[in-house]
Amino acid sequence: MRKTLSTIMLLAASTLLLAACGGGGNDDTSGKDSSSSEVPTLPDNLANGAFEYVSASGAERTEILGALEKYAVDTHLTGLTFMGNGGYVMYQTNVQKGTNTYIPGYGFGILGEGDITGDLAGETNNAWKRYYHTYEVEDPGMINYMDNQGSVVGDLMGYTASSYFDTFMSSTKDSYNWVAGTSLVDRPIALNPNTGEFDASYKGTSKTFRFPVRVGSQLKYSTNSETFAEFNGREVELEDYITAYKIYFTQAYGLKRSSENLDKNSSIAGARAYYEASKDGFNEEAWKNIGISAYEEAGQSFLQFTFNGSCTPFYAMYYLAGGMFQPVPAEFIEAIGDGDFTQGVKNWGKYDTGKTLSPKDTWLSTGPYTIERWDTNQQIVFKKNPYYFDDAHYKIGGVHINILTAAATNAEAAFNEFLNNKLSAVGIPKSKLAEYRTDPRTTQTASSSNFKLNINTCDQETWEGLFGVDGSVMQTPVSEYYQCKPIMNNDDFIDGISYAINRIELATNAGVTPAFEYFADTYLIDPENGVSYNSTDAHKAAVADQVAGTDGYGYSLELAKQSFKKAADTLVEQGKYTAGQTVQVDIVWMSQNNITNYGDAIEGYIENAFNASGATFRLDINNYYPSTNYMDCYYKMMEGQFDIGFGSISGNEYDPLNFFEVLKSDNSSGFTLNWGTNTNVIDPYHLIEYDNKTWSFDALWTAADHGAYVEDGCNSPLCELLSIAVTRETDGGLTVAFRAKETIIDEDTFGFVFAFCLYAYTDDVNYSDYYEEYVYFDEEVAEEDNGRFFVLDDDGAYTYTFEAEFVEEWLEIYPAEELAGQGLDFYFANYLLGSGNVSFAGTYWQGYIPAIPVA
Amino acid sequence: MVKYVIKRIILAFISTFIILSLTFILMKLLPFSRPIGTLPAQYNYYMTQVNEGFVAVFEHEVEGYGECLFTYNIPGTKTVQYFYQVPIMAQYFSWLRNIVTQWNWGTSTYIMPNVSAMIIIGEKLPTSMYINILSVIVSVPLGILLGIVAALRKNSAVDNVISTGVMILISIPSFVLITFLMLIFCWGLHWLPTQWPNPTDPTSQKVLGYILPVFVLSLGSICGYTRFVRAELCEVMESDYLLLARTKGLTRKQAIIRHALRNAMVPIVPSILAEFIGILGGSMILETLYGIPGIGSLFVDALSKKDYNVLFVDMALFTTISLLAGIILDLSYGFIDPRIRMGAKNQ
Repeated sequence: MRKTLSTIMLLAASTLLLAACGGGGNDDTSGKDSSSSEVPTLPDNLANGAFEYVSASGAERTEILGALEKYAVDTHLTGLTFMGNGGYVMYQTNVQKGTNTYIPGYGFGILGEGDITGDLAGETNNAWKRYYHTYEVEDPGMINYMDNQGSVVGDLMGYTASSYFDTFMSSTKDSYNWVAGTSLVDRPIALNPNTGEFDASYKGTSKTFRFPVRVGSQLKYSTNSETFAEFNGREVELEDYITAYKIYFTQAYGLKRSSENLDKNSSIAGARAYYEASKDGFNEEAWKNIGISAYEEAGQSFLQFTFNGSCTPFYAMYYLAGGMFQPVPAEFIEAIGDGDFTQGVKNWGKYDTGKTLSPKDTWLSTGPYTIERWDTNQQIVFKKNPYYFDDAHYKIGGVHINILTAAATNAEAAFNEFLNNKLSAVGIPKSKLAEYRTDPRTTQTASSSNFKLNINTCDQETWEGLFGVDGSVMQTPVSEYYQCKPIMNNDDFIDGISYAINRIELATNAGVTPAFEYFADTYLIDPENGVSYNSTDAHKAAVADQVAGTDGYGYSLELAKQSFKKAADTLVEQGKYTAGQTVQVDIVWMSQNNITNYGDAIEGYIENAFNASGATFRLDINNYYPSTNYMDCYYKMMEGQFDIGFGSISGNEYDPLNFFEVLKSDNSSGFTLNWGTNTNVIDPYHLIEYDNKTWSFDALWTAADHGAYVEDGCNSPLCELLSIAVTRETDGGLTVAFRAKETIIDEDTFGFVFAFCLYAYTDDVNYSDYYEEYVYFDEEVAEEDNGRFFVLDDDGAYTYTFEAEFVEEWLEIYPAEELAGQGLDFYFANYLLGSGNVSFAGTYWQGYIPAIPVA
Repeated sequence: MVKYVIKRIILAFISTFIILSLTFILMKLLPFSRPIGTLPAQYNYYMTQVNEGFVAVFEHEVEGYGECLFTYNIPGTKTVQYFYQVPIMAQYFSWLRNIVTQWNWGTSTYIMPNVSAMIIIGEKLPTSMYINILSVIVSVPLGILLGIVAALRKNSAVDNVISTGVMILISIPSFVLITFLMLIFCWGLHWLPTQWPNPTDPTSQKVLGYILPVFVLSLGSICGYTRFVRAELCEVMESDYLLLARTKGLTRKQAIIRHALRNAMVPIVPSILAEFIGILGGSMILETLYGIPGIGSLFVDALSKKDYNVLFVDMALFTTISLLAGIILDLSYGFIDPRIRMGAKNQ
């Protein structure tokens, strides 16, 4: 089963004046307080042009990540890390771990390699006494992870799902290896771009990969459903693998995760186009152009995938691993929909509307376990799948999940269940730590995720730009605007908070691991050789300044007081606060347990340091949690409705550089939690240097992730429309003339398409007809432009004319006075081609003219 | 009398309609729950809202729908989509139409995705009922007994102990009490299950699972009945007709049983009847704490997770129960005390 990937958060705290790109001049785009009056001038080696470091060596990518991390740490973009999720866990004596050495990113190998050697006394059902017993605080009522974004559903699905590639513990029991799952080979086989042939020995980058998969007697479905017993033991067919993708990518089925993976480098090529073409249901014609295919060759069944971008076989394996796309027969979907495929998709892995079927009936397993019982809000039970191809590997007979709702509000509820011998393992709550820390059943786990205090350092103007009525990240009505606090916009204040938190003491008291670094040790810069990024010199150099003068974990009471004093003096001097007043700062947590375990201590650290610093006003920290739904805490941060927030985001442990996307201020990842610093400008106080050039954070990250077009060190669109004019000629023709800012770097690497579209609609919603004309700005295509003429003026204006005859005919069919609307759309898209013909740095733009002008 | 009953039932229908309408409208007046994440993820969210009839999508800006919630340029196409909240009254009438014409209360979106809200309620109702029926069965005799004892021993040590105990216990909220009792009997002494037993647990475990919630639910009622019975009985005991009964030669026991108790029961019996109706309502916090899959915990769940359809059905049920209890309470007075004639014309 695929491991749950870890975490991260950001902290957009930064400071200083930032120099805007484009003109090379300085412009305070961050709105941050700065005590410095003189802004350094920018260097003259700003990056310009198209860059692509996707296929750079491991050492080069480590260097890039180090440069980005140094900037992010210095400007607080990485957030204020204070703890890891490692801690003290107790296991019942009947649990035999796969290894006694905790393997970061893998664990103790309980299910995969471990065993249950005795009965669990608290289990009353004899058949389950040797099952592994764990708990969840809520029953999600479903197991289909395609239609749910919560981690609980992902975990549940993980028990029942097979994956093309899987992880198992190494023979030395101190690490883990990727091995073949439903694939018959350990790694996808790349289509060598140099030879045009599939080559298992080729380890370079490619966009297309294939691998043979298990079918027939090599892989069978399992279900304990009595209603659909005919599918139990049924052999998997090659087409079943494709069915899962068809369901996922078809927009009409409306699965909640279906649009998540359409546009990334790691997305399947053509997925976006198919998704858009499948609003009304599965589109056979459009499916032909998607980068997924299945075929038989030399007696083996192959799956072939083409990605948007190039990657190595290792990363192709990683992108394709996971249980979400385990095979499913179309007949099963039809059966659970009572003959209706669309209804079947709706019921898949859920209850049906009349609740005559439960997830036990509507889900087929090809993984190690199968659903045995699903008692709503009470228990979910899995038993071993007798048909699992690696059945012998799993020794534990089943998994019992107790729905323990009390654990949502009671930190000791799960622990008490453990003491009552009803759970196989449990984390030790803070209140029990002193008593049980040295218990022989207790073991310590390493962190796979570091938790942070995320920070909203926006001034009001910046906030409105991000979240206001026309916000770039989210559109919020004026009545719900957040009132940003000036103190949060002060860099010294944020520094003070970081210095004030005694991470070692807090972690010791709370039973977690202290942490200061952005990444947990599970983030590997060289995943094939198991090299953690935190072990590299690049990382150590990046955090050196922040650790200096502290206890090694960023704590120094003296430095905290100095920073707070400086912040307070500046703020009073600026007139933002007055001496003697009390300033409130709110910290949002996920639950009361968080506040009890960490919040109270952090409140004390910050308040005590600030109020003892000699500051002329007082600070009052207010801890709160929005609701019993922990996601509400994240929503507060994602919507910018907070001062400081506690949280952690899952990420790609095998590509920490890619995961740095969550630091970008444009929220391109969708998981930015810290706001206030514009990452697509060059900060003259914190320059990012790489390849003898100076970059903005976004530009270097984009160049390293998939390629970027960069102007003056910052990401820039390839093409910008400057003006457009639509005129009706005297002969009745319709001419569109536009002027665009030229950014063509190289004719061979630039593709540009402009499309014009005459449209007409008869009601308020749907187009009744449209005529679309694409104009490729490539000489050959332009000259063969279907009889209509196309002119590239000397002064750089592009003109396209719909011929008079055509326009007249159009207007005759669609007269303006009889229609709800009629006019002209125009839009363009362009891209750069990098190594291996990888397209990157695309730009998309569109607009419309509400009516065709009268001749 | 029949006319009165019909009138009350019609009024109950009207009240239910008004309460549900207000609930729907007020809930919908809450700020629109906006999505987070990437633009495609937000788009997906809005499309789900469109499918559920809460949001309308247009391919151009429109008027009359208020503020545009979200705009989305579909990549690679010419289409720009504008999302607006469907007017609340339009949502309301659509909801109402589905109920009236199809008895369709909608499906759950979070608690049990895809399942009819009505079916979810139907599944949860019996558990709440069993617990509450048991608590009534326990609380009524015990409460009346203690009340009688306290009244007959008025101002004695026994009365003082009972009254003080009642005052203390009635002041402790049930969720506080069950937390303490769980600490002692479940996690401390291990005598009782720590949460509501699973369907696969043995019968003995299931029986034990009832003890704590039934006891905690009963305690409040026991205290209430004790106070009520004591007060009523004390008043009756001091009445002239009881003195007359004694002077006619009845013993104290005869006078109490034949006259005092019968008259004291007049206001008590209707409240017992009302409580029997109220048992359908469940107990929100107690059910949540003990993991009881009843309609009380369902209400809390639906509210916190914004599962509106389930919430509305739950609310409809609570409303109906309350109004029904009120009607039965009123009518029962007439049956128990023949002197009371509701809705009767003056002779």
